[in-house]
Amino acid sequence: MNIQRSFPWVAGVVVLCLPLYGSGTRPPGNKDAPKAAQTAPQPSELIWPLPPDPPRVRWLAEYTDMAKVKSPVAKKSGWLEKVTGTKTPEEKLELRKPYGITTDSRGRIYTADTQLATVFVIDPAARAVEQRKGDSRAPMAIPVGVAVDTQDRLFVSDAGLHSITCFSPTGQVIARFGTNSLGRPGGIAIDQRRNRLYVADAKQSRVAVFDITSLEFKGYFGIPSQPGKPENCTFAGPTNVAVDRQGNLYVADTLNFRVQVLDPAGKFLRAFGVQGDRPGEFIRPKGIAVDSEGHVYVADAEFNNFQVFSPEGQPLLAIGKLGSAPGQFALIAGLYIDSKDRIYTTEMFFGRVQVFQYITAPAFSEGKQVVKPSNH
Amino acid sequence: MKLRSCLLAAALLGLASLPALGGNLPKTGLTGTTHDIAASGCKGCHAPHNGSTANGGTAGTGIILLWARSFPNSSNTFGVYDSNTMGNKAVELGGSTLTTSTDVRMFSLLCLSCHDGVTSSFSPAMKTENQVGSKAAFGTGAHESLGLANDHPVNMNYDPTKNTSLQPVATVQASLPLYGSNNTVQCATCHDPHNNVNTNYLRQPNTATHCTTCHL
Repeated sequence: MNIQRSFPWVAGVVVLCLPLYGSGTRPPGNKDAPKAAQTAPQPSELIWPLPPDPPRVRWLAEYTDMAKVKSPVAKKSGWLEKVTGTKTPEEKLELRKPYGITTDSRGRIYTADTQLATVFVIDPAARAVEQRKGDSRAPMAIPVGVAVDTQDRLFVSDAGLHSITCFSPTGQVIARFGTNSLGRPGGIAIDQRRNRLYVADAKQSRVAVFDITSLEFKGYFGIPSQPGKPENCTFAGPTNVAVDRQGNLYVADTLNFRVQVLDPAGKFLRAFGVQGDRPGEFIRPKGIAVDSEGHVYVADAEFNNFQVFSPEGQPLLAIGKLGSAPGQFALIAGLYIDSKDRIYTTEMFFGRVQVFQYITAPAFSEGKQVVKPSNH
Repeated sequence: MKLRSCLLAAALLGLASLPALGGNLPKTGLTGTTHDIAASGCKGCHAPHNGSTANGGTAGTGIILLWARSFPNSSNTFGVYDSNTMGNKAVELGGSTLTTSTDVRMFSLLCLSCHDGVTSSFSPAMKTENQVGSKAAFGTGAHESLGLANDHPVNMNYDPTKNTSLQPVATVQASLPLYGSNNTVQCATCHDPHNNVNTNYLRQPNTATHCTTCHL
């Protein structure tokens, strides 16, 4: 089965570098929108849920080929090519198996490609792509989780090296740490206020805590669950973590098929989700993030969607199904939400990053008619 | 008419499943293995359809998505689990229309949802078009301890006309299943996720006979 023949757009897709602050946050049904765009549904008009329900999430962009970030439009052949009949081969740098994803203060997108053993740094505004491969003394092996602190230092967990690598904002390796306390580190998250780095460790079934200034190991949250006994504060193959604005820790407790929420002291607050195939349930919960209003987003690699929950765990919305079109997923893995409530996802099957926008809808906030200023 | 086609489908399923699922019956070797995820038995991969409140469901209509109360056909758009596992059955039935959801690669997607290099350690490469005869997709080095990119030809079209040092398709199929109309190698060609009697969940003992099933 020829992958590219089955999914022709995968190879041919033009990566849309939308001005994210502009059109991406335009209110739905804007009458000033160009007429031409309304004739056929464009990917940028994808919204969830569909009318008449108020839209909550809008599709913004996708990235598959890093070369197209730099030059989104194919070059016209020059006079020399026309004369000689030769064609310059198009440059390609496709994502292979991206897992972790995050952004920095400049709006650059970082994604760890576990197969290419590199972290791509995508700058949508400058149309630039950099890589963080480590240096010759400390090359990356299987980079998985990424997180950036307020100084734009990049932390990368590596499942092959069983450690965390810290990069300077310009890409120099500053330090590598955690080898003695990590098994197979996965997703990571930073609590800037407490100066902490949380590392989900699927092999040890617990969450490791580091200080991001001293880079010292501070201890673990939780212990491994006894098989079939998912007690509070015990984990089975946790793969991803997120921190909300209060500093509470959200853990995708993958092989317990649930989300656990711990307070900054590591104390159990709540858990939600059960194993099952209905909305609000989980089969392979992986990437996790919290938006500015406390909603919890969880990617599921078997549903191939991400589900949105209220802070208490009530299911609100499910976005995506198996497929390769915008808004669909194949082996969705990482999920991250930036300070502007943009949602970033990675997929390991087609090698793709997708970007969505959570639409703050004050008038429809759970029917409470809360009026608050827009984040945008 | 409807009943008859249902019966026919069920009969076909039963027949067609036999060669593919030979020696694949779940009860024998799963309990206590690493695939007995959180001691949940079959449910680790075959997700349950929870209905009653006792099973975590809510009374009456089940769980409702609050933000999408009028979402049209919400059950259709959500039923991705069907796509993966029901899709597999369609392929085993020899379904001729391979849509995305019934693509043969869905066999391996189920495996890869855990074997992604993070949740579990092994992480095969899947994106490239894997053809017999093109070694480009695989490395030439020794067995990889963490990834499987260089020695696990997932989704390779098994085509002895492209590589003359391979056994005929029928010889392979006598002991190992190939999937889809292109006779692709999927994870389940060599591995039986339900049985760990041969270690590494192999369908056959890891001896020379296993190699010569495909290689002349």
